[in-house]
Amino acid sequence: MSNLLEVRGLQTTFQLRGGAIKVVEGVDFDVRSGEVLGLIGESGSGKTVTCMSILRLLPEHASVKADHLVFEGREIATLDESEFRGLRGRRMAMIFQDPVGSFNPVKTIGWHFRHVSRRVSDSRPELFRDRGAWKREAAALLRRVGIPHGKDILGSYPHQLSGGMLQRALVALVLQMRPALIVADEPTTNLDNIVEHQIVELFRGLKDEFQSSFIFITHDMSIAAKLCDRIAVMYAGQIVEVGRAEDVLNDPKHPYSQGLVRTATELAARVERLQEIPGELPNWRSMTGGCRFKPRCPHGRAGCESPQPMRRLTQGREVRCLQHEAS
Amino acid sequence: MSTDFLIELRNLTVRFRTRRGLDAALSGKSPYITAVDDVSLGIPRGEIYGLVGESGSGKTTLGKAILRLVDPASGEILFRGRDIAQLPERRLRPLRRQLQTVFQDPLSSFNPRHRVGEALATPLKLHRIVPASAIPQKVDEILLRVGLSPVFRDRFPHELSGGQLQRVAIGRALTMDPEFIVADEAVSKLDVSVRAQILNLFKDIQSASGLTMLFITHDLHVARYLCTTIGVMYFGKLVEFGPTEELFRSPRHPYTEALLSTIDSGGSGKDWRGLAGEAYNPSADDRVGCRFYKRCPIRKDRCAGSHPPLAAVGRGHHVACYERTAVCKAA
Repeated sequence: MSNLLEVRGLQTTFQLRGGAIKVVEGVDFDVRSGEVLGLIGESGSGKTVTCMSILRLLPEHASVKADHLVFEGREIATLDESEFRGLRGRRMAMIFQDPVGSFNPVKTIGWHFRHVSRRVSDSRPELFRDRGAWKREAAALLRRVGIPHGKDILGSYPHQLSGGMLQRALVALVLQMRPALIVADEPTTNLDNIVEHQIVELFRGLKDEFQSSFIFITHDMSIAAKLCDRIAVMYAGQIVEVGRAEDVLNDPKHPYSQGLVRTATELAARVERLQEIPGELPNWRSMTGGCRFKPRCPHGRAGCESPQPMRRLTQGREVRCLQHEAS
Repeated sequence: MSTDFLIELRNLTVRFRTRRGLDAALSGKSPYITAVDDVSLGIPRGEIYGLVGESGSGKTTLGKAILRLVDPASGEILFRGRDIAQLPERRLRPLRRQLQTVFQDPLSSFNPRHRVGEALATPLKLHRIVPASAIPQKVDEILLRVGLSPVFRDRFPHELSGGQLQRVAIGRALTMDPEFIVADEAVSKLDVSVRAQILNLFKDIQSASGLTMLFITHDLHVARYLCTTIGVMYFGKLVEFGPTEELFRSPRHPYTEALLSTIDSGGSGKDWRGLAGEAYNPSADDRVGCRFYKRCPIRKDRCAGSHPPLAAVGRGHHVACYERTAVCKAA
């Protein structure tokens, strides 16, 4: 499989009044064509900032650097803003956690679809072949994402739909662009169990049906297990483990991933008492150069205070931990 | 019912007015939505009762009604056998210290300009729990009890992480040695790696002090870990309740089945896709028939007639479904 997106040495710094903090540091990963890459970690670990850095969606006080940022075989780190606009919202798109905030509240759902169709009219001229073409496509996509009466919904305003319906509509809206890369940022977090399950099933169907690649950001291990081909675990701004989803979930190597997987499986298995990961995420300002998980790690030893590189275990399986030095 | 319930609800109904004046008169629709609809349940002393259901099902309103933070339209709330549903605020105040709550978002439940120490001392002062001179010592005790060092006394809420702040919130609820706590999605906003710590803290506190708790959550795993009894709400109605393990092993209500199938990682092959239909719309307030009728895979004609009453299908296990109770009786 070829790589749709290659990220090397991504670093994002926020300039704040009290000085600069590095929120993402030395992040390397690939997204292959047609795969779902799960980006897993808790809030504050830098998952969202990583993706927003790639899509250039961060505010001005953030500075993004990368050694190498290749999308569809083309270096995009050096593109100027007007060239980049040709990619974002056309070839790459992001689905946010909060569907309500993603729509313009005073415009109908149909207006959003027309707007998006216009933007991609170069690559998808068939949407304007005749007057109603984009509308028919929109209704078909809405049907595909589980809104059978999609045509009626085009006349509705966002507040008239429930959260789950809006999230589906947003997915359909993004699919209308036919992007090569879709970043989905915790798209199920605000939804109820049953709707969440339906949205996950929906994504599962979509990845086979449309030739898109997905980066699926989540903190939920069970969702990652259902959906992702490969998983990258993030902790405190760094990727600490990468591998095929079943490998990472069945046999996590980094102590942090081990803790995450254990919490998820123990809750499901109904144990008497959950094992805790002690402590909290480190403070950005007090971060040391060494392993960032060290203060919470049960296996900490001499050497952990120096910076840890990603260590390769097998083909495609890497972990940022001193324990795996020899291998 | 027997008297070993600390909290007992009898036919509790809570309504919110959504239309007023001319709008109410002209629209021809009911000016109310019914958030909690004729709910009866009992929370045994010393147990954690889990309330699950999707957002909008009335879980939070039910919890607030027990604390008398919203006023019920009708029904009884028995606290230690005494009805507090209609008590005026003046007579309610002495009871307030017995009924505490922990909210979902710890940051918004603290005054950002008060230090943690002040936040914990305020209820102590208001209710004159301990003499003024003993307050600092009591505050330190509370912090230690929820696993925080006394240095946190001088911090502001924004300086604490979500997990630490939730510990303070739990501590604040405990300052008055309450008999009953409503924990409303108290772990939902916490990070995965911290969630286990707070769940264990709840478990420890409960087993150490025999506290009674209503634990509201949408996370079925969390409910299963903490609670001895679980009630399932669907659009204002309690549709099923029973002992945790029995409910998980043999759910009776089709909605509970659907909920549980979402966490069944193996994929039992049950077709819950029928649920994709529109959810019950409480604002339409066409309160006839089973609330689950439109989405139900096993509905029959009579289900459209009236909402089924809760009926026993096992020891302490009740379900509101005509089909499932009929099967049980026949068997």
